[in-house]
Amino acid sequence: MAEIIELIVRFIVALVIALAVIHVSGLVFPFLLRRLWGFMGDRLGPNRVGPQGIFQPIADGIKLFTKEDITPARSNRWLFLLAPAIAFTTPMLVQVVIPFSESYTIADLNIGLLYLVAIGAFAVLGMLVGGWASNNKYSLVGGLRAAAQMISYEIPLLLTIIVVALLAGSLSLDSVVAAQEGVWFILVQPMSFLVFIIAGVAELNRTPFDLPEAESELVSGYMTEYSGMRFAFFYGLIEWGNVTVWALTASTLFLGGWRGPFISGPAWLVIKVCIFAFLIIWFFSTFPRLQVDQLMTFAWKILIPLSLVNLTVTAFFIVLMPDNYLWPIAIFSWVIMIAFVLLMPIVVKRLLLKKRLYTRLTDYGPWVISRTASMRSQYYRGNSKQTSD
Amino acid sequence: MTEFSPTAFYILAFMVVVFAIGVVSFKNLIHSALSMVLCFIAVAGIYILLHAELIAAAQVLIYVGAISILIIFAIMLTRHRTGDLKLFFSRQSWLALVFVAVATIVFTAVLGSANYRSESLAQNPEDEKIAELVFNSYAFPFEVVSLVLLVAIVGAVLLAKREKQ
Repeated sequence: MAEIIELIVRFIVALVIALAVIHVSGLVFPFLLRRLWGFMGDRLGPNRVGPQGIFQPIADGIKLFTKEDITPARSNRWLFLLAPAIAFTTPMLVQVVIPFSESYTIADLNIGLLYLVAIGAFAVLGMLVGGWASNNKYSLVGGLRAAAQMISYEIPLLLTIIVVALLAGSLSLDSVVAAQEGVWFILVQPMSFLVFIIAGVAELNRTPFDLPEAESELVSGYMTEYSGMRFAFFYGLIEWGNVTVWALTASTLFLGGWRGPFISGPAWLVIKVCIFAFLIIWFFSTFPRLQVDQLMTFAWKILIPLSLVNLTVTAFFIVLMPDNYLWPIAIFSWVIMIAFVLLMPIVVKRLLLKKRLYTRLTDYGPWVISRTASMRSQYYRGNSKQTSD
Repeated sequence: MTEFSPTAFYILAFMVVVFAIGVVSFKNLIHSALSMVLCFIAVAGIYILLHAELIAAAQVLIYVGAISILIIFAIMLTRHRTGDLKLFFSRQSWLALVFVAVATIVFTAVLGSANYRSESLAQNPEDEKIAELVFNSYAFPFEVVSLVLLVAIVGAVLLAKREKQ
């Protein structure tokens, strides 16, 4: 009997903490986003409600609570109402395996890393169902984009997670944190960290990968038809809850989890999560949005091969030098990351230039395309001979 | 939960059967697909009950995360009929019923007469044991299976590309 009571108490505590994490991030981060976005755009941002506008999220919350909850007349009512709940399971369930401090992990599963990836599926499901049930073309396109994007970027994410599992020698997240006692994995595997950041931002549908909710073309994507508290659910709690949970995962996998100098435990985790949230906000106010084809090309032709090479070499070194494999892996990873960062702009520029040329040349028939190289030189010289024939 | 709990199994089995019936009897394809998702999740629950956490996670990852999403994706992309579909109540259902009945009898006979070993993998972490089996004893079949899958993927891409032109 005592066991069952203990189990129930632990469950309630875990539930309250998990809900608190999501709600606090849903309140704080959208406000920070608007303030920092304003700051980076040399504007003021919301600064009227309370000192520096800190009560703005509460005002927003009251407004959304009192708004009418509209269900579109020709929507699929049950699925429309269910979709936010499905999407909400992801940020809740991911927190099950995250070690918040030395003593507090809700459940240290021995398949923790695999569990993390598996749970990510529910987020896609919520968006797909929400977009479809709204019976609105913008919502549907948004949901479909979300699904395509998240499935594509799940592969590089999975490959980097395997690298972490190789380094830690275990799938349990507690062991991953324990393995980082000496050195954080970001120093051993900066390439994996970079891929994890990029693929994670894409999984979260944040700028520059925010095509599913591209406001200038799709209104708000899959959440266009939602209003009132359901919209707040999607926009505030689920989106930013997912950001927090992703940041928690990234900190656990690469930044030593709750470990850190001077202070210990959850405080470091909060600091790390805030750094990641700032990164997301920074991206948001800096980068333009990608096109769909660029998005897919980047995932399949650049990220996946890179992370595959990284994974293979890491495994190779671990097998080859079982005693002292950290140094060679670190050197290789740093080299490949620096090369990636330096070469990426050049490759992208060439790709874009080629594409621009292609779209111009396709107007003159397919035979022109085979002569891209010679055309390019003409293009640069401003030679417009092709137009005459 | 260290011991096998029959109550939990019955609840999960009931869910599996109900949602499986839902897959074939819903008149809306999306509802069928979502019912299938719930069915897969219940199956994953049964795996957890049998201490096969690795298989449960793989079940959710592959069947819920990839296959179901792709099916829903495909349904949404194709302009499906706006009216109700009659999958369960079509003319072929009588024939299907006969086959299902025969299959049920065969499966029950085979599975009921099988002699299961009571020793389970529950005593030690099963993921390590699975890894040992897959990458040592059965490394060659494993590689062959991956090769077959790769060929299938390449073939599918090829077919899709050809159709476009």
